[in-house]
Amino acid sequence: MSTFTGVTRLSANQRFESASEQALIEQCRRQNFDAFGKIIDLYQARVMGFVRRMVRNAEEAQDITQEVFIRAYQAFERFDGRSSLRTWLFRIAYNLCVDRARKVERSAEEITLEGTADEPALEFADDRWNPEAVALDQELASVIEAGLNAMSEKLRSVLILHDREDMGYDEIAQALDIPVGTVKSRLFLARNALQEHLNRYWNGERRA
Amino acid sequence: MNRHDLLRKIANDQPLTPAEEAWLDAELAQEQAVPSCLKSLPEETPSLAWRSSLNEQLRALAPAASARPRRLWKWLTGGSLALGVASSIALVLIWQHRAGLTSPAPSPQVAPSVEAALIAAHQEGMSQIEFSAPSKSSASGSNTATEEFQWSEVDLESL
Repeated sequence: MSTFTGVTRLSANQRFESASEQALIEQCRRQNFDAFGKIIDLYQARVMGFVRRMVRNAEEAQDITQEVFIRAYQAFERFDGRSSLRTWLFRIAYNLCVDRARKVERSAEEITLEGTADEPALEFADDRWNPEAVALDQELASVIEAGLNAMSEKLRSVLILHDREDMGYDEIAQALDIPVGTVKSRLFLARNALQEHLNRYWNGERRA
Repeated sequence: MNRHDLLRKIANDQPLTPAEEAWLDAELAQEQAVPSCLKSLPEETPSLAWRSSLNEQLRALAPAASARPRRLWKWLTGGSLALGVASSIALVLIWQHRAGLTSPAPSPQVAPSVEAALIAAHQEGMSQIEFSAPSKSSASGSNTATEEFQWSEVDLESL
């Protein structure tokens, strides 16, 4: 059962970060291959999860994730520590995804910022939306993934970083190079968009 | 506060009033369903093949990345080694040269007395050998001694 595994993993990573990440970073600055391997072990799943949800093609996501770590390895001497390592890695990942998106035109089915503006905020009165009561099955997971794919990259990135990776507003603002206010706005719009998508799924299921 | 206008401002990323910001913060803080859904999605687990491929790429980069420091280290150590050897040789040569220049010449008062003492000791020793009884081992060599030593008449009479 994979429910809430993300929370456990994150807290473990946070403990590790505070304890020994600095030592690893110092070793990586000296091009220590083994130390960088430990950094990869620590972040590969999370970075790949982010990239996988930012690009639709799984193979492309794997290539981009490799590229993230290759670039990080090459540029580690320039990592100044002003942001956390996690923020830095996600920033590289986001920039690579954006570069890739500039090459490949987005399909017209994206929900744009303007498109979600007039959507009314949804209420989650239904008991099934109680987080403790929701038991995600494969079908619902795929519906959520589809909802994420339907968003613009701007909304999706903020939503994943905040609600999936538990990053704070400031950290996201650093990673994506946008103001904190914009982070909040995009998070609000992204959540509304996903709620709308899920609501359509539930309504369709009820009718069926 | 007009909700529709507020949503439009948020969508257009326009600056919000403090009251609107407070409302937005509260809305974001109370939302639990979407974060829970997203956290419950299965993790992406990179395959071993993926990791192996990444390692290969990184190893290919590793020599290039460390080439500059290695070259610098080689240059530094090579230069210092040669410089160290050259310095040592120069120091030895200078020391030897200086030792040659500054070594005290044998004192004319001391040297003859030492030499004289040595010669006297040698002569005394030789005379003791000559007057001592020849051993078996030296018996064969006694002929040569007699051949070489020219006895005087005085000496022969004293015997």
